[in-house]
Amino acid sequence: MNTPVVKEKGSMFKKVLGNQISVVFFILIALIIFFSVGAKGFFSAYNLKSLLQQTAVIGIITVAQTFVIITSGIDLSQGAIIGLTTLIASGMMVDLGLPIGVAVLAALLAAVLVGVVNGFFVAHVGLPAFITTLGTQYIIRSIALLAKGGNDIYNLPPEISNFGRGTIGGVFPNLAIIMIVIVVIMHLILKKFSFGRYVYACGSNVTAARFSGVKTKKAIFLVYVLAGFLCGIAGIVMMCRINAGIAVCGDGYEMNSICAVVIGGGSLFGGEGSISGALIGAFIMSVLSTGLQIMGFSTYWQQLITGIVLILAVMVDTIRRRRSQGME
Amino acid sequence: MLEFINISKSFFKNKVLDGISFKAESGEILALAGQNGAGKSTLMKILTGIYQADGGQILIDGKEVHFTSVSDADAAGVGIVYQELSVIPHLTVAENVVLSQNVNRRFHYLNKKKEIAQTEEVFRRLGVEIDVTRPLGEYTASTQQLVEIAKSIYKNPKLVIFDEPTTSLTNKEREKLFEVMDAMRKEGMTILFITHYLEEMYRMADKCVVLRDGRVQYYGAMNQLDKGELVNLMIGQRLDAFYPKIESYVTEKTAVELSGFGGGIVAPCDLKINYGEVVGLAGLVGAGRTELVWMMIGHTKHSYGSIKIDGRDVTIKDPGDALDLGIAYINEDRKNGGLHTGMGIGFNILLPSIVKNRADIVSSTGYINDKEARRVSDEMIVSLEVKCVDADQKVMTLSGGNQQKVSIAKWIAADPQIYIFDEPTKGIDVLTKSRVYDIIRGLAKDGKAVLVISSYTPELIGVCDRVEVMSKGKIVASFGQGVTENDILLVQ
Repeated sequence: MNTPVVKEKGSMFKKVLGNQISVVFFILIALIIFFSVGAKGFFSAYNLKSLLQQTAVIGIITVAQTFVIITSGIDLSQGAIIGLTTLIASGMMVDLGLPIGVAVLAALLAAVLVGVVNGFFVAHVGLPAFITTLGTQYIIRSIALLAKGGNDIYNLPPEISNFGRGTIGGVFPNLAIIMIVIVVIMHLILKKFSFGRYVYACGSNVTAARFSGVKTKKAIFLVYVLAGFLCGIAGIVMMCRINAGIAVCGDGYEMNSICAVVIGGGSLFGGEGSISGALIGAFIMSVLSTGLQIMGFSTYWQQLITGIVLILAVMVDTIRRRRSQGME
Repeated sequence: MLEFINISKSFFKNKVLDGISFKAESGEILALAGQNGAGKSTLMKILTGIYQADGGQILIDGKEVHFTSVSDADAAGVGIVYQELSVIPHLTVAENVVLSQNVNRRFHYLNKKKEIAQTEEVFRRLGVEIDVTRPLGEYTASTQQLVEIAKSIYKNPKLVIFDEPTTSLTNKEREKLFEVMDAMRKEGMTILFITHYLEEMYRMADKCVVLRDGRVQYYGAMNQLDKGELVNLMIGQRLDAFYPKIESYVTEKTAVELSGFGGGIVAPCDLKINYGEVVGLAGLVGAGRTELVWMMIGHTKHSYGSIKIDGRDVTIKDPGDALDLGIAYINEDRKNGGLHTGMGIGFNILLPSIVKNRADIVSSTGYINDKEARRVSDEMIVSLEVKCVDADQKVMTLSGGNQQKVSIAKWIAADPQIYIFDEPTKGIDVLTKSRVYDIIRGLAKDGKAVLVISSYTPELIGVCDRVEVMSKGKIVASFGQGVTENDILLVQ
């Protein structure tokens, strides 16, 4: 009567249906098939390449947002960090004539600094993440605008746009490769390293994590610093793509990354979410916007449809969860 | 008054209730005994309209009823007082009591005077004095429990289910609750009483139903069933030695030593635990026992005194430091502090080991060896007999007893030398309790130092080599082998 049954595998069918990632993966495949049939030129090498390129920025900040959301936090400063990074890096190159490497490093440092501020207030002072990052969003956007009086910076060194347009072997866009490398590393950190366990532990129940010996403040602080750093990289990628420094160029991007994480099975209550799911979420959003654009829908329609997809995806997830709990 | 006839219920071909029949009369307290998983909660959920039975009938006052929702049951006069509080702290007592009622609300207008008068009337019936206009948050947990009861009495039920009502109460508060139950019985209500404490059943119940594996094992007068028989009926096998025989494993080597240690409500305490020794910490709820050990593990700050591990002075700033020094704290509050209930069993079991960088699981870079990790969690599941599908099953889906096993397993896996158990048998079934005692004695045999906090004196006497008694923040007495319940009750 008391014999434990260890390792009893569920049926494949049940596993597939019981997993949000596979559900959203099917949605992504369905969308790609739909647009390939319905939108002329969607399934072309050129378009797929630009799709990859477009997803790079959102993909990277989605990875950052995944970490933050798993700790039951939220990072609203992402878009502003992107703007700030492009402005600092291009300003140092164009206005001060500093080498590219120095400019990029300085911009990344600034992004990390924003992460440190976010992490300090959330983890150590105990302010709500929503408020803290909303505050830093306003502050750094303001700083970025004040720095150049709201002007954009153009005429970047040609290496920047060359890199932004460049590919490896003529197939893989450089920017997409940066995203893929980050995705792989961050996925491994989250799933295979002890730090990833702490992230889940803090988000699922921070008191229990502390009682289990996890240095919770340190872990949460590091998550925000990491998020700041990744947003800095996203900012550099953005600069390479638009070949300019623009203070407001990332505005609202944090909403896209939050959507992507949630579509991919992340919970705003913390403790749930994965890089793979969130990345699929990010691709669903870019496929939708590119596909609809090719089909001739305006951006106004795109937002409407994105909104519907978000609510549908989360609804499916909620029903699935409720059902699996009712079964117990 | 209430009659179950041949009730059955299955979940996914798993028969949880199999032909349950019994009766409860007016003005009677009927104890519902059984281990976790015996079918008690399923039966109560059927009675309150949360589940529907697959077969059989429920009669109330001779008429068959079909409840399809909680409000159906409410309307038919079936009330329930849950173990967990569902009150709202910033509303007043009166507002809490009338919260779920629409009686007073004409066009959603709340009649405050009526609300207060009616609530006062309910408490008068219960023999409780309370200012119903104060926010509930100002009262203690036990008062909040009484408000839970008032909430159900307010609806004038004929039958009230008490589901483990005494779990978080002190002895004095428990007495008060029993008085209230007596008052309800005198009024002619029927009470279904669920408790893990056998003494409470004998003290309060007129009749008793024992469930095991979804079947009725006994139905009859409480006093015709002796305690040993009751336990045997509940677990279905003979439990010869409920408490493991105490064989001393105490060594000469001191593991942990507190000198003048304390802070907050805890006065300077001296306490020494040797390797191989199990020390009990007795006392009433609020005596400062949990507060003391929270300072020991660095969860809260201590203000004076020192702590020595293996004879060396140590500084412990948080539970992470405690874990590094080989101290494990098995939390009393499994749901909020002890376990990550939303995560899998394996995740929970492995967490302290990962934090501690257990060499076979985590490399120096922090890389987790999944295969080894899986092996360790499976081993713990088997050795502590956690009943589950596999290591991925979420902890929230386990019974209280199995959750407690997981919350012990996670520490054993990290191999600490000092264990602090806080109310280790709270809310778990008889068989698991006895298993927990075996584990505690087993740890001592392996040479670990163990501190056990419990408000249930008999178990301290049963498993400890020495019992220290705390009262009002001070350690007031120390008893060796041969101590009796009376000795402890007199000093605490």
